[in-house]
Amino acid sequence: MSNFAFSSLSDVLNMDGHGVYVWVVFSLFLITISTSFYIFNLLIKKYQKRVK
Amino acid sequence: MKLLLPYTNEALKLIKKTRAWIGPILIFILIMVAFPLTVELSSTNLSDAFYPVLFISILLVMMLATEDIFLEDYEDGSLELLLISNKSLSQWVFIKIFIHWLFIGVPISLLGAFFNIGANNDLNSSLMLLPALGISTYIFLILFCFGNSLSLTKGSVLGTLITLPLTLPILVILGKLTSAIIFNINYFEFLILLFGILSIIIFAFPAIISRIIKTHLE
Amino acid sequence: MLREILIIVIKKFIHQFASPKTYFYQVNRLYPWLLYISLFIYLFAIIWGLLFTPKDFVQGHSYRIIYFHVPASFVAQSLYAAMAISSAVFLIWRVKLAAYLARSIAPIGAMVTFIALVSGSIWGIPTWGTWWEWDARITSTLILFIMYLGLISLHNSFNNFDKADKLLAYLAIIGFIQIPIIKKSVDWWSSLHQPASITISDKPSIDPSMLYPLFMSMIGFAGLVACLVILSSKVQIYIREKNKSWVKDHV
Repeated sequence: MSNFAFSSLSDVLNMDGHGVYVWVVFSLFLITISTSFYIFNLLIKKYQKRVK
Repeated sequence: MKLLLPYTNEALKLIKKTRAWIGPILIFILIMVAFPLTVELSSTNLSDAFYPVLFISILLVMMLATEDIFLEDYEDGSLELLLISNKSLSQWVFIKIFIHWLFIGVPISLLGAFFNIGANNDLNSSLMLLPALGISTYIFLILFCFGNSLSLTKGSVLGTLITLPLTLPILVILGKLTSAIIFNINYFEFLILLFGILSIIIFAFPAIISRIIKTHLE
Repeated sequence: MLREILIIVIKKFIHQFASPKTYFYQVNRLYPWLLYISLFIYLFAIIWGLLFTPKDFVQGHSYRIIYFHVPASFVAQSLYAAMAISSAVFLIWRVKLAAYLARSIAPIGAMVTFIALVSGSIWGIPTWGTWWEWDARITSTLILFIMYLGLISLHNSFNNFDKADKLLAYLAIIGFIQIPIIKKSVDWWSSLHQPASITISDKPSIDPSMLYPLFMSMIGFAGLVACLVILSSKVQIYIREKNKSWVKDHV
């Protein structure tokens, strides 16, 4: 594993001006994947209730 | 002569239903005539936009031409009769598509090449365009028939929307072909690519369409 | 003799596993392991890729979107291939479970393709100066997204599940031609999109320090998407097999 690529936390967020793109994509991934898991678990509970 | 009988039967059926084959041709003529009216007066603009308009209008017209290609036969029970008789359903589908191409695709290809002379003042490029249009109209017809067979009982819109993505690579190839015609490089390669695509789907798709129709009839 | 034994064993295995009940119970046991292991691998890869890899010489830090975009594109195409294979299995061997899997993969595939398109567009802004370009790879991926939506709408428009499954299967198999077109489009047509960095035959053109987190993120993301497919297939089983006694017993 290489060394830490940034000098500070603000550098991590900023990333020489490209931080907004990287973190927007990161949040998109996080929100989409977690929402999908949540929705499917809700659907499973809904159909389990129907079977009962 | 006996071999030609199913072809002539389908041809006569299509001729009787005049709006089914004249309609798409008239719409194509209307679009190609209306298009210069919407463009500015200089002819260089006309030739720039001509090829895209030509290919998109061919796509739309082929979509219209196959709108109820199987629906009438499905509703009046001919498809069920075909299914229980000894005749091959995939052969019937092939003949139907071929006749539609003969009556709609071929005139549209000729008209497209003719309009190209008007837009670009170039007979050579029209002669190069003609076989490409002939092959691509057949490919579009087959793809849209596939889409219509999928949504046989649910209206044609669903089927055509579903198969529209499959036609987009053909449009990309046609776009490359126009560059080939304009700059006169790699023209035969693209024509052979189109012909190769057609040769694969011309017999495979009628068989698949017949299986899909059987699924609907079960 | 050995060949006959092998054929019998394979048939028995497929016959056993092809039952929705066996699949359901096996997958319930596998799911927690798969979820936690993939989550660990993916998070490890993302943290490594985002924070511990060096800056790219040309693209700066914006190349780090590769750890999201490339796994999403790869998985989107693989999901379509999986859907086409299960459709073929359903049509040839009439395995009901294959039809359930094909139907459950479609919405996940649409979501992953959407993520790939959006992340690619966002990556395009600092790299190419434009968020959209009608070049080969991007257009083919958009076509793939539209195909997924078409598959979902086709299946939903029929009340008869058997007919809907067969039609979905036919369309999925025919649409499979899109996958080689997407994969090869970058090589066949000169375009804005960069050529493949990782190929089967040649040495990768990407630096090893960036390559290892990329591979790990692909594996981790594939595992997470497999978990989503498992959840989706469970929903399908609840919908289609709700009258079966084993479902009632399980619930």
